[in-house]
Amino acid sequence: MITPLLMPKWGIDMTEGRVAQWLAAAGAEVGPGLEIVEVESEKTVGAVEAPAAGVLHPVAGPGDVLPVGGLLGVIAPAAMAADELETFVRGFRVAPAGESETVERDQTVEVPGHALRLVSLGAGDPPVLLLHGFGGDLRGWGPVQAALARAQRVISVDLPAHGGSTTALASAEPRFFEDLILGLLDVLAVPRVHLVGHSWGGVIAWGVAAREPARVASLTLLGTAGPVTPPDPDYVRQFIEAGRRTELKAVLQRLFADPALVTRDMVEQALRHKRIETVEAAWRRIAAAAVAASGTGAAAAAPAVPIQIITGTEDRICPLGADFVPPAGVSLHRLPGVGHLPQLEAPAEVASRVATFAAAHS
Amino acid sequence: MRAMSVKSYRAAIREALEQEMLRDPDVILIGEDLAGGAGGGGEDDAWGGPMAVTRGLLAKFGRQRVLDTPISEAAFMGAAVGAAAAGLRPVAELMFSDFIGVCCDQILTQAAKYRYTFGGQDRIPLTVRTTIGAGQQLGSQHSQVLYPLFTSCAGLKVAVPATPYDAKGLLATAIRDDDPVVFCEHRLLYRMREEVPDDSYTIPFGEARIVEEGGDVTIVALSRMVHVAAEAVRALRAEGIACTLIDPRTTVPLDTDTIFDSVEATGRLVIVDEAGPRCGIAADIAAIVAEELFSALRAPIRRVTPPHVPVPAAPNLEALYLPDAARVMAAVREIVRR
Repeated sequence: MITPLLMPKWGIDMTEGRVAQWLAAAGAEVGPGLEIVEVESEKTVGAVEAPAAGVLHPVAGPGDVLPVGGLLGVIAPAAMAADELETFVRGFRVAPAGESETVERDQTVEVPGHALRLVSLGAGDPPVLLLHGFGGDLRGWGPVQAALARAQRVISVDLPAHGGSTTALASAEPRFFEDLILGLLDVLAVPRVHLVGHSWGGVIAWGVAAREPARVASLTLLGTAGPVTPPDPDYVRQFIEAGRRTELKAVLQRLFADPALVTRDMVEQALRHKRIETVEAAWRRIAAAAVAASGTGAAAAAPAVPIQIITGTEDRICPLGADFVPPAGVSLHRLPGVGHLPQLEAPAEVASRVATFAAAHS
Repeated sequence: MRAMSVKSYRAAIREALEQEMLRDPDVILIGEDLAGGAGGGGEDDAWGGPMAVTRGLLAKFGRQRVLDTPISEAAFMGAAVGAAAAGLRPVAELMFSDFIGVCCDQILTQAAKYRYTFGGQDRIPLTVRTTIGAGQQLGSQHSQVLYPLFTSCAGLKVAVPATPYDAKGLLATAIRDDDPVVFCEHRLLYRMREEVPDDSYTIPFGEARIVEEGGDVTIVALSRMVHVAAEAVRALRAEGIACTLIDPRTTVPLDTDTIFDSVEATGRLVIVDEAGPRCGIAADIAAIVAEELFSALRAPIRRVTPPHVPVPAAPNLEALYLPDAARVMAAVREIVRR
């Protein structure tokens, strides 16, 4: 698995950046959260963190000016063959920028009663729509969205009371969120979509597909098998209750196979969001409704759309044990050494599975 | 209708005041010129206090809840303590922390000791908002950083926010707290801007913010010095020195756990504070760490503070007086080489 290290986009005005210096040496072992290269934009100087764990192979050198999305370097497992790396670097293309709809930009979309933040990248329909899990937001899709956007349009959205979307909830029932996603597709004038949902977002995606199968070209579930598999209720409760940094860090570490992946920034961002009182109140309602709705079996009949499930073997929140048998016609991919967040622990593999599945069902 | 927007430190404080006043009818504001011209020939709500923080709140909440006072800290601070004892939740504005001199009894002796004296039968849910800091050539009587004084006074809690985000969340916590809190606003930070949630939130007291993480040295900095230290940390990174930067955010309670964890890992500590070197927060934290973690230290603790002199008014002398990034870098380099 090769993870590209891309020139970041710090603010809407940034179109290119200059490599100031590498903070980690070629061949160094790096891990998520470690600052590995310093970049200067017109307005600021900052460090770029490693997006994944592995060995660093710089591509750009100090003084080089790269467009946003340009390849600064790659991170790969120590065992990766040199020619494979070279092929990746040679084949790398910067995602087209300049057209408004292909430039990364958060937009706010009004769906009756709610303002939802979304990021749309790339071009080519039907688009992929990424739905984050409970307590997450669209930033968690960063590496997966960037990789998928090279071949097609990819939209990530913050559900209400998450990320940059409004916090008011007309209801916390699953059906409310399904209506909202269908409403979003209408507002975006997207007739058909490849849905990718993580955890609670996967349960919503499942509901959307069950109600409107004609609008869902394919469904990829991450860290969930739909409403038949309830999440660990203790985890949900602890996540809501954790009020201090150290408590929340311990809770977030349960999401990962490798607890070292929980960075200071990740804890701080999550804490900042959950401390907002309207958010916390909304999360309590969502959690109660989600726990009540899951495992009921009522929704067990799989939607009539192509479905794949991607799960980590180390998932402690919504584990699919060895005895789990997916519904007929549903493919199951188990990622060894990965926890509840495959999109962060194995982004390249998730992106490639989604891309292949979408291509087969477009 | 976004959940976040860019706000100044001043606007973040004003928003916390407004939201707490909406949330709890017992929250009142009291201080000099808060109503801006009320009672005189001037225009009501013309400026919103000397620091323009409370502007607009008179119009929203009226004279019953936004109280202008004569220029007598002794009188209005005493009134605020009494109002708190009687069940209100006053937020009193002490224009400059230097003015504590004329209301020491009200804050240090009465408010701070009331709960203890009466065996917890009553509490003083008072917030004293005050301003601190040099850098505006206001001279020795309007530039002091006096939170060490408040910190030393048992019975008070003390918040020293360095950012708009922290200011809003810590002020909400201060107002809801049932004990007296001194909330220290640095005047040079009033125009600092960042993304701050629009809705209400609180930040617990006694939880430090880890601003940067690095393995070579721990830097603890407070209030505006967090930004001075952060500038040093960025420059030191280019020299290959990785620093952890910790902002305690409150001095009472003090998050010693976060400081200890970091010093245990780095073995080196630099404390950067705009309060003076004698009986200051830097001396206090240095003593606590030396006492608790001496065996983890690989080099002497270094303090970066102004000298023990009154704050000069002349701009060149004031600049010389204040710690800057170069001084922080020199202190770090000196102990990292050991």
